[in-house]
Amino acid sequence: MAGILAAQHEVRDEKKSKNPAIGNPEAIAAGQKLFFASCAGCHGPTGGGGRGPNLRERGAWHPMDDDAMFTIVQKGVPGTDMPALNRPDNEVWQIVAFVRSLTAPAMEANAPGDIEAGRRLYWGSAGCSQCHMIAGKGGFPGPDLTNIGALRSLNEIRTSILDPSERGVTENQPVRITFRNGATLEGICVDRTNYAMQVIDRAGTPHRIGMNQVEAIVFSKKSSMPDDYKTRLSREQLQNLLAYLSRQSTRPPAE
Amino acid sequence: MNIIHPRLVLVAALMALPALAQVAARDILASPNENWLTYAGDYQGKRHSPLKQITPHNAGSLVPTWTNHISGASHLEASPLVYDGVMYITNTNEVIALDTRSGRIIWRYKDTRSKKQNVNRGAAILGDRVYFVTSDVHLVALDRRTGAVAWVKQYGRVEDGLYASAAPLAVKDKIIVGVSGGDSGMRGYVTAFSADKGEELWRLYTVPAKGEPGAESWGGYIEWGGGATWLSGTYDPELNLLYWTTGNPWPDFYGGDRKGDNLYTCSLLAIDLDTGKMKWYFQFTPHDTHDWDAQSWPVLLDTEINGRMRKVVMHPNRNGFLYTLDRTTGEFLRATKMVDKLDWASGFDAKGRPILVPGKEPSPAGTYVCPGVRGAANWMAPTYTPGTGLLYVMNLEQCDVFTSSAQEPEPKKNFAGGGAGPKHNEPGQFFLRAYDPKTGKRAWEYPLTGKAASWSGAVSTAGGVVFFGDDDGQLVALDAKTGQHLWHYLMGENLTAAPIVYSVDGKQYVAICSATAVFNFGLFEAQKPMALPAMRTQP
Repeated sequence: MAGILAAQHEVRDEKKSKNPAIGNPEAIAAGQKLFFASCAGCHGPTGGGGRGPNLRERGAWHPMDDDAMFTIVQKGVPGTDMPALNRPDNEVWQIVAFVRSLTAPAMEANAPGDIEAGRRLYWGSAGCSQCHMIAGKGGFPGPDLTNIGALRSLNEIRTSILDPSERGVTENQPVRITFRNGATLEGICVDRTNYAMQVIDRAGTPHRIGMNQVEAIVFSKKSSMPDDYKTRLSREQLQNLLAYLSRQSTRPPAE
Repeated sequence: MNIIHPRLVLVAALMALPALAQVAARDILASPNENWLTYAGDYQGKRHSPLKQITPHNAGSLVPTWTNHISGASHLEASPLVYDGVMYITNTNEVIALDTRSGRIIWRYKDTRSKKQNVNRGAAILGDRVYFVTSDVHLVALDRRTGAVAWVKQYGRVEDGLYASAAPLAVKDKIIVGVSGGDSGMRGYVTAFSADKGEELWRLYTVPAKGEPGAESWGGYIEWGGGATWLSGTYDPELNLLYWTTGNPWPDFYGGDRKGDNLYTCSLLAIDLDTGKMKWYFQFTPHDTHDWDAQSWPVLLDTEINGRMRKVVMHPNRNGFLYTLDRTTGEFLRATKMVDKLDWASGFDAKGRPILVPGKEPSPAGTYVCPGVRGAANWMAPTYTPGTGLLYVMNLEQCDVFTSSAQEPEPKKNFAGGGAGPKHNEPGQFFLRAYDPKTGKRAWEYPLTGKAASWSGAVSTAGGVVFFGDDDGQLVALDAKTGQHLWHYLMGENLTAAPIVYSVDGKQYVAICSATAVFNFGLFEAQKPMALPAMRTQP
């Protein structure tokens, strides 16, 4: 389904462990140190992969629940290069907590940074609110971010900001339409068949277009999200922005 | 990046696409027209469209113009809304916006963190927002253009036995919502929110607290008394009154622990829109023990009663009677039998209290009572056509055996104090029946042939056609005057939603949700060959 809010359809349903390390910021920090020492050689220092699988891309490894991950870290996978760690249980749980934090909803990551400074940046100089909405305020045609902390991991949000076209844009493609009467329209294509197309323009207006009115369509592979945040934002600004965005949720984290 | 082209304005004008039009409160007062802006189409609950293109003469050439199976849907109950060519339907914890020309999805919003998964009966629309309730009792406001979330407000707790399923009602600057859960113990209420910010403005409980007036009509368990508000209501703009119905007292089938009338269950409440105060109430079934919730649409119309024009509210009740009340005062004017199988009451006193036939209480051995537990009418939408002066109601002729149990009631555990069901060889039968509001008498009836398992309702048009879903999975068109069959179409699924009527690009359509899909029907028009546009992707 190629809707403008495709982001809201994903359901994360892996079983969560009741182990207190999961989601605990101190355990995650301790797990990160252990990960550097024992896991980063193969999985990369931030879990991005190398000789071992990428742990940040959920599609790159088989999603598993926390208990299964604990067993694999502790005992290894016989017949593969994944060795047994053989460390105290609490340390293994810290590592699991860290790996889980790479893909867990951002709101559970307790992202560090100045939330208030991030808020000012979002609504001010970074220009995010010109194209995105939070709680009914802001602009189009970027996806609604009101619930982004519950829908995306911290890492996914970071990548979307720094490298928005990284995966190639397949949903919500920018489009320019030339009608048979010579008029043109630019916006985001939320759905298309050979016979009909739905486009949302920058003013937020949905256009229901019959293809019999259309002369030509030009899609762009490039996200309409600006691609210069890598240079526009300082490291600290990015951290603050992530601290703010990761806490956007329609429901309290406790639920 | 500039994505606004100067000629966009021209495009918008040429394609008759409005720029940021908003649904004003007065637009809902004018609904339905080309739009269908509230659950019943209008505030009076008439479900009557002024559109005239489809008539008894041409209804036979209706065809489906598109069908969209909604992924994940198994039990759609939504009455669609249509505004400006966009259709809004709801599913469990979900709103979907569809392009009425193509049937394709524009946006879809799903609350994946809801604690409950129940059916949903539709949305409300006002300003630039679409409103709906999640099963776990949150009111959600979305941008109607994109589905972006404006706010989410919790107004009840699953832990208190509540869930939510009804379409909100948008009136003036307020959004009115109700709660479900009356069959397992809960305390019902109607709540108003400000449409812009989602601030709770008032809350009216349908069962009094201990010590409040009306509490004397209860024994124990008043705090779990029920009176759910699981169907949205109607509204009279002149009187500024909401008409909201309440469900059964709890436990459903055993009344020994709640001796008294059990106010204000199984009632119609007239509520001041501004203050949330109850102006009057009318209890159809005092001390109900047959699960005869009063949930069916209170239809507001002006008609002659005994030679005098009256502002009335007509209510086809689950207990088998079609009630006519003065909607200003709540005065009982009349009740007439809707079903032939009705044996629990022999008549009414002057105030409209039923005169009970002895021996019709549920019992441990089972008591045979007509109508059955699903009632002679239920939440299936009725429709009123001013042109014919007839009210069309889906009626169920069925009797059930009601059992009861004096067991200690346990809230929130699906405890109902008994149960009910038909005798083995006595299945029910549905009829679409037309009533004359002047007399309350039946004008004609149209019998159905299915297994009496559907919950579909009806809609009527100024073109003189009544559409309804039958219990064989078909949408049916009848001549509104005579009840003559005009057309039918098999959707092949159980129907639990009511059809609506709207127009786009000057053409009239009928739409209905089946269990898993949205169907759109229009008069046959041959398609023209379409040249595919030139298409390319630039890096």
